[in-house]
Amino acid sequence: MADPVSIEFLYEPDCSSTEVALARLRETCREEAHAGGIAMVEVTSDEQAAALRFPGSPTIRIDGRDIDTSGDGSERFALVCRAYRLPDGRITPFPPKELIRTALRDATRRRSVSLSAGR
Amino acid sequence: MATESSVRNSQLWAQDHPLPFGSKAPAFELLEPATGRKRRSTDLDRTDVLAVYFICNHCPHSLAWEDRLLAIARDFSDSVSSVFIDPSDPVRLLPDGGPAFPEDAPENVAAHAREKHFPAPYLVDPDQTVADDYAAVRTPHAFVFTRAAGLVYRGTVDDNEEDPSAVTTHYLRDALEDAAAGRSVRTPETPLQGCGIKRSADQYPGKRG
Repeated sequence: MADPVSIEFLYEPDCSSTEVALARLRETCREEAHAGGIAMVEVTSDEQAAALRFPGSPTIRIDGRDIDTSGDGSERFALVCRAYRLPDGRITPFPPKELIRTALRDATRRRSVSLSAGR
Repeated sequence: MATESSVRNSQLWAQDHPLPFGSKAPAFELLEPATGRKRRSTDLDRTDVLAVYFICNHCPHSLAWEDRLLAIARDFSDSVSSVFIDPSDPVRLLPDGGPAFPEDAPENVAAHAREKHFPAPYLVDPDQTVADDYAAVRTPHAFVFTRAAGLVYRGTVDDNEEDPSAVTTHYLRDALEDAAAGRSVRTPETPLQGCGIKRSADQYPGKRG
């Protein structure tokens, strides 16, 4: 059986998106029976944001990959709240649950494929 | 020795020194990028109720609530004078030399105001002097004043920023209705959800102690 995927939650303490986003992530992990934990990474300076390639708060990475692959093409790494898009195109400060779920399932699938290939 | 929160032009100072209820609206004179004119608060204050909204172009919280704020400003335009202020520092630089808030450059504030048909002036406060005078902490942050009672409301817009159809309490609308009717505001203060207003003088504005 594959190890659980690794999940990182990067956040700026000054951005008030954290509570809702983290609750959403935890709920999705429960629903998807994710067995591992969530590594919390606090980002407190623009320098740290640049070093971590942190595009805004919150950023969720699963097995090192950002859950939001749509991107806006910008390479700004800074202490800002991050914008996500709802399915109808509206901006939200919180990562939509389906985005988290899809990323979690994709990462789990990649782990399984990788394990099968290694047998 | 001065503590961090005793320093004005600091977000922590603003958090710790909210504008007291009953205060008159602090006066200001700020640039309106859409017209290139300086606007004075005394010229904008044409009704018994004045609403001052700190918003910005880069914050998803502010953007999520923006259409509702604009609708409120339109709906109350007969009884409430509204003004929007962007307190972002457009020349704040990142370690790579790029701008931290390019969306808040004056030309982008002007374009945004035109594109969204702002019903009231959208001004810029690039050094956060006015944000400090109001002790504005986040975007969005709403302040409602009446001529008779001074500051009667400070806080957020409503209780669901992500889904307008799921809002159960319209804090700001309620406050404006009460203020315009000369009643006491039923909920004078509400908790803020939004992006911290970065002060130019703060190196790590989100970090306390």
